[in-house]
Amino acid sequence: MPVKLKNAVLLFPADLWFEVIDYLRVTDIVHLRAVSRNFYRIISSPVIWKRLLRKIGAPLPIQAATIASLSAKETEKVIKRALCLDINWRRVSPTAHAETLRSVERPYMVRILPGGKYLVAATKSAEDQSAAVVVWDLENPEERGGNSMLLAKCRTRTNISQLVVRYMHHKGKPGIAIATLRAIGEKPAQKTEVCVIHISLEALEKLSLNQDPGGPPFDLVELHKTRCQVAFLTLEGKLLSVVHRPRTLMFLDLETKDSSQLKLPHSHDGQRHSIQGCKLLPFQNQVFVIRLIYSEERTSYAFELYDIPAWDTVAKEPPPVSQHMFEEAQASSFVISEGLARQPNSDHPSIKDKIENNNYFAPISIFAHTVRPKGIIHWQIDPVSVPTHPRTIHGSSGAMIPNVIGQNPAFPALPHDPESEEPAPAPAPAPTPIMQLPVNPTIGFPFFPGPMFHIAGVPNHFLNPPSLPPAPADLDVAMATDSVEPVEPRLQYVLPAKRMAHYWFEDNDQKPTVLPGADRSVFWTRPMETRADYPPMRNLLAYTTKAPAPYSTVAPSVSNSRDDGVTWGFHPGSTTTINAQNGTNLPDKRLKHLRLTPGFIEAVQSGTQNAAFDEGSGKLCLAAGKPTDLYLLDYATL
Amino acid sequence: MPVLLVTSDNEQFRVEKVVAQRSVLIKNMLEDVGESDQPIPLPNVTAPVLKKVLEYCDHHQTDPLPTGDEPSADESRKRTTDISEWDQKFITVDQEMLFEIILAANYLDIKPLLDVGCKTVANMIKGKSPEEIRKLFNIVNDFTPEEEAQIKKENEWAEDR
Repeated sequence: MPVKLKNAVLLFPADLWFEVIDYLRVTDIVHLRAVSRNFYRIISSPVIWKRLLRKIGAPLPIQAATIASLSAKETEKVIKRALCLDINWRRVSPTAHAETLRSVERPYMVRILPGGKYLVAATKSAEDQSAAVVVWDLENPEERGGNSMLLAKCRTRTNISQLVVRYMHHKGKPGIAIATLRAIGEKPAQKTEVCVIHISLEALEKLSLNQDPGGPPFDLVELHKTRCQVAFLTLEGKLLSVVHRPRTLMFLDLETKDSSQLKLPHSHDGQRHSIQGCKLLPFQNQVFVIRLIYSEERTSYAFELYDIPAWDTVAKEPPPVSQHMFEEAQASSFVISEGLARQPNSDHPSIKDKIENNNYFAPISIFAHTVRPKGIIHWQIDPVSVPTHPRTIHGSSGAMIPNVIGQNPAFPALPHDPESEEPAPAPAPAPTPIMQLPVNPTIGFPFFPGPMFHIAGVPNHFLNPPSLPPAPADLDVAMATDSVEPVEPRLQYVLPAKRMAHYWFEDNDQKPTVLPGADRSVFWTRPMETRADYPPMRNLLAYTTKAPAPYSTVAPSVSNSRDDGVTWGFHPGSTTTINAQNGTNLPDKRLKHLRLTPGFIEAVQSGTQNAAFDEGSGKLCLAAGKPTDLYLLDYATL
Repeated sequence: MPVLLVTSDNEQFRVEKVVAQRSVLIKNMLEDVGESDQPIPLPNVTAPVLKKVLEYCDHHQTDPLPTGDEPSADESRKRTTDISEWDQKFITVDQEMLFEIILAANYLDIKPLLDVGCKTVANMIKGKSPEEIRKLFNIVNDFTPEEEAQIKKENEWAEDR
């Protein structure tokens, strides 16, 4: 009998084991591969891991390569990273694998490419004081020495003031685009240099093998100098935008060199405005702009969407496609999450996958500081499904989508009218527990003026359900035919933004910095009083956009906890979660502190220059210490 | 009209066409051959196994046939290992028979039966350690101690996931 049994198992062809393994969890799969050489061989098949990738249910790190090109081992690594990070990030206090990167190239600005493999830093050499941008490989394979490796370096003459990195195709090759802003010349005739360089993934791969990349590794994509006061750069796809103060946005296609200009609408006398942030949304041919509008009487903010003008044209003061105006007590330092896409779990997701996953669009997260109370506020813009002809929504007249907050298209000339700040009131929400905001005993009630009296932690859409404008007549036909087959979702970012949370400090002497992500973000704070370039880090916190599910028992509330002798004087504003729509009043588990190892604490307290975070891979990089080193923290750990 | 099936051990089974056609292999054969009382040889299936398989086909003869063009995306995702009560009872057989049924279901192309079999094997493996799986299937550990240590290290991340 035992002999026959053995035969039965051995008779089983590998493809039948694939069928069985389809029903197993990852733990069972790895147990099976530890059984015998035969099973180890079967489970070394990429099929197993690619199928597992499709059902793990945790956000995946962004892959620069296609899923099809990944080996079994590489796919396992992706799954491992996604699962370990997902579990760790939900812990009360996520822990990290820590590594210190020392180099003569002293970093003062750092960025991590999505996926966590490449790190780009602006550096100043300790040897000859030369400034450069450098590319590090953070996942150099073991057989090539492991750990991290400096792959390429490009001189920048002097220190740069802004660094934007994105994956981009250039001359048909996938690679990394590095956009920099640098002041040149002496004041008052100072100019600004805008520079974009590109390094292909192929060249980076060769460099990591110590091979000759066959020519200079970096390719110059764009270089120009301007006398205008450049506020900042943004880059998305092949589109670069340069924001000139006070109100001009330049758009440049890096491939065709086509360009256009948008001059934002002028306000009436006595009002001033300044651009606080901007993000390109090339696939909907729009740009998202954050503006501060102030006069002697009041200060307000506007989130706006503008159409990107046609090439070779200058759009002079067009009305915004849509606008969301609000008042906020001295919000500042707006930051916007970078990634617009989530990593699909296959190269060609089915329409069903696309529908279930929102077509792999990520929400846009916007964070800002608030002064009274001192803290951090978070808004989110979700992609919403739009009718099949999105451009017909607002028509040729440029009229606004009805139903957005701030119904005044003639920005912003109307006198202040509290009634017009809000859309027609939605059916009054029932007085559920979410309406009863607990009062913070130390600072009292959060200060939100008049019509914007929203509840911290309660997104706007619970109070004002977003709805699309009435469909144009021709849409009825389209809907009728489309109803048979599922249609690939067409999504677009539409205002208003939802207000997700407002956190504030218990003590008033901390200044936060946000490393924004769509789903996961990192906050760090420094003492208010310091004006040093290298401020000591006070707190390091993890923020998750999605609150854990109501039934989750993973993490207790991170209220004002003081453990291991460290004072984390950061106070979660509201104790309500966004899951509160069913009326349950759950503790907010979105904000918690991140642990650092003692050596790292010493470094970040002696001075922290800059930090970068990639939410998909869970890698955090701090440029800290004296002299400055790179401190890498990997939160995708066991 | 009944169909005549002949097993590898030369036993003949006379079954209703509607039952035999649960097997896509037999269904295709019948379509190719047309109306004929020629026996259909099944050289990969023995009589005890075919008897069991036909029991399944008989019970499920009125189920809707799988169309065959369902998106493969659904197959590999969110699969549950739930088995209906009748199927559960049906598949409670010794291990040798279980594997034989799966092999036969695969050969005869009876997808629902293949799924029931694979789910059952998966349920047997679930939650077991490598050593317990070896015992379960009577498999010899042919790794060297070094290899075993290496695999244990590789597997570390996936414990309790």
